[in-house]
Amino acid sequence: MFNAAVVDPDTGSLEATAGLLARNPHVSSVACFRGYSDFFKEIEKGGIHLAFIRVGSPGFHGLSVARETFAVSPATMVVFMSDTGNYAVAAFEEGACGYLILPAEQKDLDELVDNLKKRVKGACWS
Amino acid sequence: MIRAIIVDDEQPSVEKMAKLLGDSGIVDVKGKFTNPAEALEFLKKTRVDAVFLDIEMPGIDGLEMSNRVIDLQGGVAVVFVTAYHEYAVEAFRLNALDYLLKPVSKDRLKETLDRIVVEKNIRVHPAPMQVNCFGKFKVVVGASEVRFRTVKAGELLAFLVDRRGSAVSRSEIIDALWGEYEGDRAVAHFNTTLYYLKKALLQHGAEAPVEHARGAYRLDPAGIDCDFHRFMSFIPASTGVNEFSIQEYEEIVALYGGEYLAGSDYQWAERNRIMLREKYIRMLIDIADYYKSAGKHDKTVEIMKAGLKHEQLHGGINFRLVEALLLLNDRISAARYYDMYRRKLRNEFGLEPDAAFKRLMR
Repeated sequence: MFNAAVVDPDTGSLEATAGLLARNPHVSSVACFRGYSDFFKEIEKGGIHLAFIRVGSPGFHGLSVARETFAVSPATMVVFMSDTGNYAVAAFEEGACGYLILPAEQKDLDELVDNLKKRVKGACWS
Repeated sequence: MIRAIIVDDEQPSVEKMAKLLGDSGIVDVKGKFTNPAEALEFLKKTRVDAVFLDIEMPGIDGLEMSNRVIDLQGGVAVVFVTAYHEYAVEAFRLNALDYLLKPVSKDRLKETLDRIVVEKNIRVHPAPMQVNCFGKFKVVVGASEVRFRTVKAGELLAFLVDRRGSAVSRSEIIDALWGEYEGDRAVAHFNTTLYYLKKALLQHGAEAPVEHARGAYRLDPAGIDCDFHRFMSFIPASTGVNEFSIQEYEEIVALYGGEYLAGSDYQWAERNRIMLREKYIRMLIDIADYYKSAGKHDKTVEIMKAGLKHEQLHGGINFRLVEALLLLNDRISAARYYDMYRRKLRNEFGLEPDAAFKRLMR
């Protein structure tokens, strides 16, 4: 089972994504963050398998948050979220494992989690 | 080495990529194709680790091609190589490992290759440290077995190996290994044990591949050669066992030299122990069923006898062994194995072989 975290400055989409994650049978916990400082404290503790990070939102440096996440916790799989597909090439460059176009539906999220299950880096899944 | 093929309808692009991959020194280019259909035929017969795929090709495009590649070889890494940005979202949906824009630079390609090595657990250079988790836990550096000063030092190493590269917080490690101690005492035990672990490895000339960042620890899987990691990195193709995959299946089941971390009573290993045993048995049965359908009953006998060493009372294994012996007209051996199974089953559990097995012996 996966422990997930969602970082998104937009409360509406943050809650929507968290709701979708909570309904996925392979996700055991979802932690929500509107800013990155609390998110990093959580990441540093270890135990977050999936991090959903908002990119392309004005005033929020999603790419930097993703980079820091890779540095702090290389085993965490990062998923970029955006309302456009414009960051998908950058997501590959940064080493993201998934990309979610917002607003997302349950089937998009479930499909993404199935993909992630196939490429788990650590022992959270076996 | 990373075994790879390149598929691109333009010959110069194929050659350019082949040169870049060849120059990396860690890729063995198994095939170069300008025709996607030929590449698919090739993949029916040869296992690879990665496929470098152009997207815009006549006939089968790269996105469609990636689906067919995954159908043939489930665990393969798909890397798209294209001049266009617009397929990147779709590439994520197809679970591509990477997406490279042409012209591909050497540095960017190196990142891709690093990801393939990590994700597919590919051994590029031989690791100095050998770790055996099937059977008794054993660490060998060079030619000598590492002896740890305390039992816990070995357990700590086994615990980090069990996590396969995931970072684990110190508190999680302490809960698993020193649950009976509280606060500072537990931390002190942990610190001393980590010190003993590193020291024991250093005495054998190996540096512990344990990384520490912000309160969490991880063991770099690339730093060790581990039977359990190799076993776990195997992803069966959706086609199951066939004449092309059989060799790899046999290599993987041969890694199972006994129960996971046998002889230990580590609570934290229980889940993996059960999972690995089930996975082993399932693969063994798949192999036996393949050999039965191929009419190679002597091979079934060989594989099932090896399986009996670890799973003496498994009904499916005993049944297939006896069945194969009967198909080879070796009734005496069949009766002997059946009797042995029936006797043990009765003595240990007071049970009888199931009806299908009894019918087989009539």
